[in-house]
Amino acid sequence: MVITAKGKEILEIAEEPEYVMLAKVEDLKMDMLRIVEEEEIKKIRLKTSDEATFEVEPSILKEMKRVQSLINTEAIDTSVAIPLPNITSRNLSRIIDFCWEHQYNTENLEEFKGRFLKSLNHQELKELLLAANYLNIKTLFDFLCNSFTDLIQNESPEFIRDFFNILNDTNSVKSMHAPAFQGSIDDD
Amino acid sequence: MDNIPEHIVWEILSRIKKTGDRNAVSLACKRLYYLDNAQRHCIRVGCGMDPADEALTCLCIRFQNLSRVEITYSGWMSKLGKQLDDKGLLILSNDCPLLSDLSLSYCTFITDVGLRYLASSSNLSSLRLNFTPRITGCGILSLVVGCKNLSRLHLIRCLNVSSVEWLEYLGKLGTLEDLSIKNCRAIGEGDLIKLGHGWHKLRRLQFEVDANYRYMKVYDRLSVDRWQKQHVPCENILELSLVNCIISPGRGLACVLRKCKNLEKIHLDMCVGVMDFDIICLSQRSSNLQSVSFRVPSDFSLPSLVNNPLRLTDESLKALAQNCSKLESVRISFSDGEFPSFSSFTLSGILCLIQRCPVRLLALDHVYSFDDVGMEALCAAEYLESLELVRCQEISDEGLQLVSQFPRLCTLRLGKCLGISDDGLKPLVGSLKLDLLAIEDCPQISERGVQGAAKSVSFRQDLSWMY
Repeated sequence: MVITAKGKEILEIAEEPEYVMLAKVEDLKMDMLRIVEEEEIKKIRLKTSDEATFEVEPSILKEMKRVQSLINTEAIDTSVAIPLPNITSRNLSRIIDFCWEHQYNTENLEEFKGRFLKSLNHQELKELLLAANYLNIKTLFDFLCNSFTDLIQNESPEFIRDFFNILNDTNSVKSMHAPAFQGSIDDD
Repeated sequence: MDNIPEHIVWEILSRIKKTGDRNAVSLACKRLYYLDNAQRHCIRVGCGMDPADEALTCLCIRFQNLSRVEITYSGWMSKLGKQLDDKGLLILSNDCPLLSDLSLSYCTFITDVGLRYLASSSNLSSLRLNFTPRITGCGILSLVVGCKNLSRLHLIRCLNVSSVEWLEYLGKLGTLEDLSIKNCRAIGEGDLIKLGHGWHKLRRLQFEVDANYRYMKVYDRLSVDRWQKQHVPCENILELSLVNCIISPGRGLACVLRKCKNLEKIHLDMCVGVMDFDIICLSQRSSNLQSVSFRVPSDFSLPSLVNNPLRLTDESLKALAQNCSKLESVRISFSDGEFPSFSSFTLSGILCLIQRCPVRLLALDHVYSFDDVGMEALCAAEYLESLELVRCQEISDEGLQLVSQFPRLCTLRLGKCLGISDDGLKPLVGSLKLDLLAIEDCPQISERGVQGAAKSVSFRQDLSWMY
């Protein structure tokens, strides 16, 4: 956040004489360094619904947009753990795992994702999706959404009902049995 | 499902692309049904619509956000019910407010009247007509007058589109970016000049002449002459594809060839009369060229040209190699067998391209001059990722065995090659060198021989081409 604000500043000062600009850019660099340094020290603690406390690195925290905005907007006392009432410790450790791998595992990320997915049953997958949504972690959210679509690929409506645990209420909608489609229009 | 918030379900659903999957999901429950309705932006329908008007109305009411509609009646028989006609197009223009991309194939019942209805679809930006024999130039004119945002127009086998006032109108409007005219017998090369200032906006042009109507009518020859006098602002074309055209030196489309400054892709297929000079000019002007594809007439298919200078030789390839540093895709094919004594492109020209340009894809069809020596040279092709060899009969197992030494190759396709057998593939077996190996109709290669030769292997054999 701070950095984007500074980024704007660069644009605004672009019209000033060159020497002023250079000085400001130097300042900016120092600022940024300071921010990085500060963040390196600052580990934030998160408290899950089952009262477990996690110490999380700033680089991981950055992925959790919701927590990040909490830290940025409210003057939260970072010495106290931030409560996350919607998330269990089990899920939070999974999430941290995922974010960690996503950031640092460049070689066999796909392999990790495969393993990660295999370790989850449908219910856990759903819970994790809600957690990713709550914490606003885009990478995990996208990954889980795509996993859901993969799981219901080539399946029947009955399977999908079972999968999502939904009741069949379709008989009352007459128009639902519209003419057959011949196939999808594939994108170029 | 009930406790998942709406926007998450929306996200999941929006990632389902296959129509079959979408249909299944929409039939699971009401909530998913309505969500799917709102998310459907494109449909493809055709013979299944019976009666057509009612079905189309239902679809338009159900899917309020449709923007892309494809109606195709390929394989239609009268027992499948009446085809969609002009009334259907009226329904589309009335009930499908967001329609921007419409494609009509084998709709033999629609006429100019229907196109006039469509003219009121103000969002229409792309229209594709494939074999709609009752449509004439008048219909297209009335459509382009109404649809001011038309940026893509494809006419394929529209046999009765003869007048081209619409082309003139589009030229004045200046919105057209993508024009494709294929096998429309009544539209000649000379007509394209009517686009006038519209050329300036054009990004992609495909022009294909019906091979049987290759030789132009007299009036067409006259209009081609106009090209020399009139300025054709074709600098912004990125992609040009000409098929079966007769290109006369310095006239007609040859002018375009030499002037395109920003061309990225060019495809010349059976264009008689293209000269080295055209390609040399092109290579000097279009430094952005990334993809070239030449399909040249063999010298026997047009006997009068045996001693004719109007053909492409290695000079063209050398000019491309020298001037186009971004060239990454090269396709060369001879239409009908090529014999060494007459061959226009030879090994040295092809290798020149490989050595000087970052060529990632090389596809050769019927190129007899490419032999084991060529394969050996590819061992030094540091960018080559994909190689396609069809009917390259001079390549033997010895040449094929070198494939495992090609530094970056991951896709290999071989078709109708007589000189290679399972032995040639042996070094590849178990090596995991290739991601994909596709073998088609090679008589000496067996299904067993290809097993394990790549991460993914496809094998097909139909030898009827040999007899």
